[in-house]
Amino acid sequence: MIKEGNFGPSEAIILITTTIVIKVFFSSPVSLFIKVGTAGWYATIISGLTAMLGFTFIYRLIKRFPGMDLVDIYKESFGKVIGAIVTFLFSLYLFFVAETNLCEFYQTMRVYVFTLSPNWYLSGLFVISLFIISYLGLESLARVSKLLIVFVIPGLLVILILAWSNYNINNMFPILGYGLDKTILHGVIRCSAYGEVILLAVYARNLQGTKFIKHEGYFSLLISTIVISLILFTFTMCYPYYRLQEMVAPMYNLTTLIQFGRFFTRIDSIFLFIWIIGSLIGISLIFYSSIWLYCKIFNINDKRPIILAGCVILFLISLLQKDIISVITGNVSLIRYYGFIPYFIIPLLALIVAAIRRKKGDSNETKSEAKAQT
Amino acid sequence: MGILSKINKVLKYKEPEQYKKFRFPEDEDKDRGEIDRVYVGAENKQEYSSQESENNSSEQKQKDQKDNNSNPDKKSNKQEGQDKKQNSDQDVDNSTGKTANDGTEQTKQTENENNKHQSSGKPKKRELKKPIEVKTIGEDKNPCELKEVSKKLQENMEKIKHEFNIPVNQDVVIREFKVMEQQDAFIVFMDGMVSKDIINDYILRQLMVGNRKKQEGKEDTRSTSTSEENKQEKENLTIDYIANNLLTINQITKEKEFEKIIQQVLNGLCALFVDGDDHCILVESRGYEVRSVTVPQTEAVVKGPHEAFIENLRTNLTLIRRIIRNKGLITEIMPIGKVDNVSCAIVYMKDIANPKVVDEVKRRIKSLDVEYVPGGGIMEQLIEDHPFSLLPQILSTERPDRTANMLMHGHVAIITDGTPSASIVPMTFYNMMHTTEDMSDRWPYGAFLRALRFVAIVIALIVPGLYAALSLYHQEMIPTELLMSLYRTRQNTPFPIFIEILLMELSFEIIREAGVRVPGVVGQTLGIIGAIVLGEAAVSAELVSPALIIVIAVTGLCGFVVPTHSLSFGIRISRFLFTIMGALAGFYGISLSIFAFGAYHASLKSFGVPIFSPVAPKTKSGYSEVIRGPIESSRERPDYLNPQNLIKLKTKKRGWDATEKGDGNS
Repeated sequence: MIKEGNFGPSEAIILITTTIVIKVFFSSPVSLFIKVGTAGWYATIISGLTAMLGFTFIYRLIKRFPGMDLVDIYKESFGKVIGAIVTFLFSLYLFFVAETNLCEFYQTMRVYVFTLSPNWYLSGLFVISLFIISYLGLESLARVSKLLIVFVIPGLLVILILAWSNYNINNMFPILGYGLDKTILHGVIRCSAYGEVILLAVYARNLQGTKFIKHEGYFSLLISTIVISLILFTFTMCYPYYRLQEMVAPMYNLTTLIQFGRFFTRIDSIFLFIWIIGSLIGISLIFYSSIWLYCKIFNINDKRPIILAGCVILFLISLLQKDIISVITGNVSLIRYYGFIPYFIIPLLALIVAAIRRKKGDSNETKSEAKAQT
Repeated sequence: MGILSKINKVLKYKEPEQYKKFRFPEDEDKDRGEIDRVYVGAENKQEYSSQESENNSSEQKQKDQKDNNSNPDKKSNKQEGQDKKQNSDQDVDNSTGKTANDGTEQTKQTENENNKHQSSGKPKKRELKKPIEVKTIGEDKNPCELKEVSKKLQENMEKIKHEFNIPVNQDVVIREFKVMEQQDAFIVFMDGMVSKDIINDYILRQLMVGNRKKQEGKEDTRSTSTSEENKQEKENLTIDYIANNLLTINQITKEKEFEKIIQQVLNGLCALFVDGDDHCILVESRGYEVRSVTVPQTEAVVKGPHEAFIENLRTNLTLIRRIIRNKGLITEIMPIGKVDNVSCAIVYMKDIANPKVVDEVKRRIKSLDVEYVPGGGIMEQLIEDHPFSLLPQILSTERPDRTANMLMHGHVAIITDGTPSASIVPMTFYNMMHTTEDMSDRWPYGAFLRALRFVAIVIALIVPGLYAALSLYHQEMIPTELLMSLYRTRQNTPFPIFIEILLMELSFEIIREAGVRVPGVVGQTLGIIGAIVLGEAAVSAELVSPALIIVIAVTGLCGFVVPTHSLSFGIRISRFLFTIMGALAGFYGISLSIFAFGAYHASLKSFGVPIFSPVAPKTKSGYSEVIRGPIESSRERPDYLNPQNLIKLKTKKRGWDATEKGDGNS
């Protein structure tokens, strides 16, 4: 049986931040630039702020039911049957997100790096790694993420700094993009890009109390917003917005631009490492959360057979996608524009229903938690 | 007519005169147990009827037993006879009451019954009754079955001979003698395990010759002393008297159980048995050949102590205790292995180490169900958490100073007899990257060395895989000039890159293994020949590219930088995994395998401590284990060990103030 174990605030922040930030390596920036033009870098700040508001509801919900995770909270708030159904749908949604991310990842990889490799090969290798990580459990995932992030962050900074020779301030204009109204609207809707912060509520029992979850949530969102905005700002500075709208993976393109002297011409290798490690962390967390919710609903203690089955299904579904365009225009658009519903609206509904039904968590749990925190 | 006389009549037994003089009418009914002991303890009637002295009777017994040993049939016949007698005695006991403790009431009942039988006039037919247990009957048990030391010296000797398979086994020496020319005794020891000087000068001389002066001093009085006084003196020659007055040995213990005695004799102690005492003295007499303390072979340093552990447990413990002169340093010794019983010492600081870790170590060692543990390496494998992991979870060090340093941090050391190293638990990955020099040198040097080691470990792990990945999949990532240079060197090489790397890696490993196996100077020469001549020849023959030679050489060198032997091994093997993944899927494969490899090893624990502590999971203190800072900065012990005393020093380590002038400067 897999032991969940506990993990600390730093591990939680790294997991959530990485899961949010990896989207910037794929096609998400492209769809944003298509909608808001040059205003992408601050549109994401609006998304981040909206996500923080959404997280406030999640936090209020956790605070109302201290010591309980999202599944228990939904069951308590909506009732056992509806709560289980809502959780099941959320589990399916996370599985869908994991599958979309996997498709996006290996399709992009195929476009840029392994042009001759078949889909099943790239997807299969990834799913094997995913299986090993999920099999080892959340604790191992959190720890290895913390170990490898030490290499990922400097690598990312190196890419952003070394690209400075390509910066062109004129690419920033028109600074309002396609208009402030459109920027705000799309910024608010695309708060789903930061929706993975809800996973803190999923693993509320494994974290060290409600107070820590609050800090972890807001801090993760803050760091993610800054990093994504910084990267989008770099993209905007390096490329004219109309060119950005055509790129599948602008980050990879950026690394190919880097040229310092005769030797440091390309640093694709560094980016590849960041890209793969980041994707593994993000997709593993989402996939494992999906399995975790599923097992929790049906009271399955041993997750290992479910992980194996989940990996096989994930692998097979990922092969159903026709090409990268269908992934970007289909799944990714759907997730970005409707993802805020499972991430933020359902917890808000749960909070309202709990308030109406006057449902609350155990007050003793609150006291003991406060005592533990002191 | 007393009850005793009646019993004697029934048994047709004539009571010896020597006992009659001690008998009083009121004793007859009071102390039946004493009577029983007398009867049962007697070997045969002849001894008592012939009125021989007590010394003679004991000599007779010894003779009988010798006869029994030499002729088992005779012994069995004699035993049968004794058994019959015992049965008859037991019958007597049945008729007279179970034991003396049953009191006079039962005795009266028996008397009445006997009277009834006599009054009926018919010859009494003895009823067969179930024999009851009589404590003193145990004295006649087979000596080989004894669990504890008997008062009879001969039985003890039989037991020892039986246990050590004497005379077949010729390693064991049994020396019989008389203590102060009076009391029979013998010593037993393993030849070669003991110091002959101790045996000759401090045991035998003291017991046999050393007190002659004392005897001579008493010579005048002895001539006038009576035989009773001699007897009294002989009775005074007990184990306690010998231990307190005769043996001039600093370390002796009294022991009763044969199992422990035999174990200690096997450990090199000398066991002294004295007639009439149900204990033996174990004398510390170990004196086998040991290697002298030499310089470390695998953990040599430029700056720092140059002592290493040896195969002798006692010496190793002394080496540690010489560094930590603190009363809190605890050494618990326990045997491991059911057949071998190797001594294993658990060493820890009482006020620092986490008691739960200490208990866990003891629990694991105690629960080992093995016949034979040939050394510390096997023991480590038996108690480690994850046997299938490539990375070790127990640190094995040959340095006493490193062990002492670990103990002061709150770790626990396990030292097995016969192994020139200590096993330290719990252990983290970062601990395995340390050397003594990190601390003995100034902190900037130590920090640089540590950082260098981390870089080296990454190179040792993934560089061959990266070379394969770059050459096979990501040529566009190589700067053009470097790419051209690489391709020029590979033009005439017949093998695919992956095969080329595997061949070179295998050759390198074979040369290294051969260098270790071949003795001394030849081994070094072989390494040089293998590396230079073979590499040069392979390049000249265009079998491998020069670039690959460089890659393999750098990788091999980086592997040597890893200070822990087991960790170095783990990295050498893991390198093949990354090479294969690099050849299979380029950077993609390497990145995936790094993550999976890292996740697996992040899940490992060493005695409850995650292997990548204090980084993952992060702990409050202990970062000095990762990055070497100034001495002043490491005031706390590693939090992940959960030591009893987290703070090393509350005050400043550098208590002096640079701005103030000392007395010498004023």
